[in-house]
Amino acid sequence: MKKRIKNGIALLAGTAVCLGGMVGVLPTVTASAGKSEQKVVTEEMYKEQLSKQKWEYTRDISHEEGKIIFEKSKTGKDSQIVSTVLANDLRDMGIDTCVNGRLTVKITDVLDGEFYIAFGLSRPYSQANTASAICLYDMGGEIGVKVENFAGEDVGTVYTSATAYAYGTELTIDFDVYSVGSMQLSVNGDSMLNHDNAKRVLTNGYFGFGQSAPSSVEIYNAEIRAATYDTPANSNFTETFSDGFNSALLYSEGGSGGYYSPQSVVCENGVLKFNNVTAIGYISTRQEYSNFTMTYDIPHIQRQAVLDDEGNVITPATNWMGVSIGCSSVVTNSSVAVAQSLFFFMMPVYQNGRAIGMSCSLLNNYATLKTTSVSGDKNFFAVENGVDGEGKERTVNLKVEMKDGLLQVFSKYEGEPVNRYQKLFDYNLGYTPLGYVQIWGYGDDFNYVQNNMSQGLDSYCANFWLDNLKMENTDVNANLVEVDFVSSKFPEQDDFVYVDRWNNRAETLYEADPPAEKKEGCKGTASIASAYFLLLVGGALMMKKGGKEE
Amino acid sequence: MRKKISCILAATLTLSSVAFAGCKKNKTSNEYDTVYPDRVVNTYSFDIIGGKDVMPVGLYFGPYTPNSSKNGNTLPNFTDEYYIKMIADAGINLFTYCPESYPQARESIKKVLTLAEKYNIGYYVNDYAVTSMTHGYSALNEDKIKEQVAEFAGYKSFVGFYSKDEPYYEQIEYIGKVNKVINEEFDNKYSTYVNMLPRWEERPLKYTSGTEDIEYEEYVGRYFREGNGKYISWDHYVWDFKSYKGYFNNLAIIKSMAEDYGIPYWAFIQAGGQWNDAGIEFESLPEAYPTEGQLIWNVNTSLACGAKGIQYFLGFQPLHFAYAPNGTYDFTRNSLFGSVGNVNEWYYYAQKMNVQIEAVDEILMNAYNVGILPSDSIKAEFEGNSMVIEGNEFHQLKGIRGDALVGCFEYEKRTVLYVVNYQHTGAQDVVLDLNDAQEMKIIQRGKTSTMNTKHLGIHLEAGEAVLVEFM
Repeated sequence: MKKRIKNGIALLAGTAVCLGGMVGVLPTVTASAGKSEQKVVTEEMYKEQLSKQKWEYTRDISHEEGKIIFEKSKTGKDSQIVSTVLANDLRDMGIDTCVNGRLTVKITDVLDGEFYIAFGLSRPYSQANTASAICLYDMGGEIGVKVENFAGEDVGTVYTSATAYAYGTELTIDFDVYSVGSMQLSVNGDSMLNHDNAKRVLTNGYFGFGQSAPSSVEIYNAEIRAATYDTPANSNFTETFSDGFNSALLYSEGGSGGYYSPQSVVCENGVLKFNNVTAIGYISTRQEYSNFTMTYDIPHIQRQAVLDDEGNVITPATNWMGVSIGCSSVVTNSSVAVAQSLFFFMMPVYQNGRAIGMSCSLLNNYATLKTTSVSGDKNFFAVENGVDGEGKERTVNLKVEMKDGLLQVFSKYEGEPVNRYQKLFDYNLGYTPLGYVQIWGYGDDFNYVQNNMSQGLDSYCANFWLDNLKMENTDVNANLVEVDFVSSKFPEQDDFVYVDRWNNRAETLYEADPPAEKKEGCKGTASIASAYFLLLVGGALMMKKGGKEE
Repeated sequence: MRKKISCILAATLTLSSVAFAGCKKNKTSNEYDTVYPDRVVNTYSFDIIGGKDVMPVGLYFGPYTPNSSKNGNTLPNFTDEYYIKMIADAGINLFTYCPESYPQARESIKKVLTLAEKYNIGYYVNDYAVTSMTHGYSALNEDKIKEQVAEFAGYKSFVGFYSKDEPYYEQIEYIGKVNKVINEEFDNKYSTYVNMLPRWEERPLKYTSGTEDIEYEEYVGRYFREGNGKYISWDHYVWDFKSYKGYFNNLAIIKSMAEDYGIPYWAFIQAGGQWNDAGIEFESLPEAYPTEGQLIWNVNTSLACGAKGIQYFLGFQPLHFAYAPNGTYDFTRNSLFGSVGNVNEWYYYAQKMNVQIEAVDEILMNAYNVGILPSDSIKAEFEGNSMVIEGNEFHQLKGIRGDALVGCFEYEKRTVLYVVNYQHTGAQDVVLDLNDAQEMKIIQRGKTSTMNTKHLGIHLEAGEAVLVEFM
């Protein structure tokens, strides 16, 4: 199943950095698909604070002004700090590099022992000298560099550099550790170790810093990465919306905040209708996907506003149709745009109430990554493209592919063969996001519509239908799972059947002068009647007895 | 023989006199402990529900038009007359908060105002123009407030505006400014609805939006000082923690400060449980929901402690409060009505409770709550509670047998007791021992009886209460 590099997605900035620092023949480093943005150490992890979620560290390690600091006077031989992000061996996924990156180390006092840049640790809390490490040590009053294996089959020194550096010098260390056990290393551009080292280092595991004796070391500009290939457990499915949908696979919400009614995403007549959607209106997978192909039909698009007899808009023409990928949650927050990390959308461009153009855009939370214009027959928002020769609305078939870091979107019209899919958009992300996939609509909210009205401008909400949604997992070694069907339809709920269990016999509720030691409930007149009975029986007995006496 | 018969007859007559004590005129309560100081009773009510003698019985999360969908489904329209009538039939007379706001939900709100008027229900309108001021999103604008009042003033059901739920300490300033305008400009005809945070002894809450922490007394104290409210509401969900001591301590703080500042207090009544603000899918825990006895206990203990209004939480179940595992739902977990319009158990419990409120509210709304007397068996839970009257006696009341909490009131120079079965899980007989035989009026389950006795035995179902007024 090994895959060679296809889109140049590979590992990353770290590899590129390494290329710049290397001298000599480089090995063929390949990485293909998956989410290859696993960050082991980034500046954010130590700039403001040392997070317990992101590091395992001894309390004597400090941070200051974007530096991780080992102070000779405060640390000991066991002082260390290890990232909690695991670097994996992903050769099965076609990714050869295990962990790589660049960092700057500054040592300001003579080393009494070794300072470790450790990798391959079995646990985040493992001692730094229990796997493999780039070791910095005192070499005749200067800083020497070597690579050591502390465990595994090849225990011992892997490499020792003849070059030494003065204390106080900034040492920029570039390295790549390959899952096969080889590594590349350069310090300040001096190539030290290449892919052909004889001894193999330990590779997959945790990365961190430690020492064998107190030292004065500052670490900064650290950017260490590892590769990963996500194979989330999910399902291939086709949803026809004929009777709701399978809510074990899909989730949908249609929100409020708009001007026009109804505002909903509802299953009706075998389709999923987006009605007057403004900020919240989407259908989401309930399983995370990495590489996938998603197709769906759009049998109806509101290409022009529906007006009443007086010319007032009842239903506005449609606005954005979007697809978000890599979503961190099934449920979005108040705004699609804010909630999603990466979203693609198709937007009609209107003139005099008619969609004359169309654009496609891909955004993340920070920027627009790419925008393209769509024209001609591919512009399915255009009124003239919306109907066939007989005046019947044409169904749009949409295909969204996320594969090995490349996002592609295609469209065609129903009835056309599969090879008529035309590309609307593509963008090479360089990695494949992992997360939920959502199809959504977006439009003008209440205030926006009111403002537009006051200026005589048109407003737009997402008004379209969806059908035949098909998801296909295209991961290598796809982790497909089957799920039981759960109907999305609200279950029937009967009213509560109330049974009054109170003692409602009014005559039993009150009692005057109850016995001093009452154990049971008040008997009211019943108690009084009992007293009468006892009194009368007692009296009768007395009379009988008295009669005998007489 | 004649002597013996005479003895039997004498005993029988004595018993008869006890059994039909109402026929006998004993000493009135005014002949005992006749010191009834002049008291100022703080109440607040609305013309639409009947005026000052009628207790506000509110519904939080009242009727609205759902304008959203979930998993391809839409919800019923809760503004249908069917629901408004059901609510009125349950004895609820006030909508404190409805989850739709003006002007977005203009038509829906006006529909509810119209129906509320028909069924004599007050309605605090949720108007964004006002809430933007009370939340501090926009500056105080007196003209805008007047404009918005004018928008709704034509509806008799309009009693003011929803203002803020669980405001932070800092937001009270905004609320107070809006309330001042509403109080002064409209001659106290309208008010706003604010609900304050509770005080949890089990899980301390944060009352400020910043890092600074303050005591609860300072938090609510600011509302009393600067909030310009007509009453104070707070939402202590007693069944979430089942800490009665904490519940009564919270009540004591509110009662004490409300009296100092001369306004009444309205309690929250928990209808269901497992509130789900985060919209998480979780398993239902029916044991976490109040039973009939517990809901009634919640209301009656509040009334015994002098609350002049109550609110049921929630009216209509927000859909996310129904989320259950794997995309399923539990519409019976909380609220009088489930998300799909189903009637839940608490509807019937509230309806039953409100029958009693309707019968006693004229007295309770005008009675001064001096404090409470817990029976000896439950005294430990009230240790240190400032509401407890010292000395175990209150005017004619000299002793309590059974697990009972007695609210002690003075009403038109007479003694009124609100006797609550402190057991919320089962029925109980409670006996009130008086200083002498007393003529009294008893109101239980909405019905009035009279009695004359020195020792009054009362059968009370779980959490049930009876009002005893000495004549």
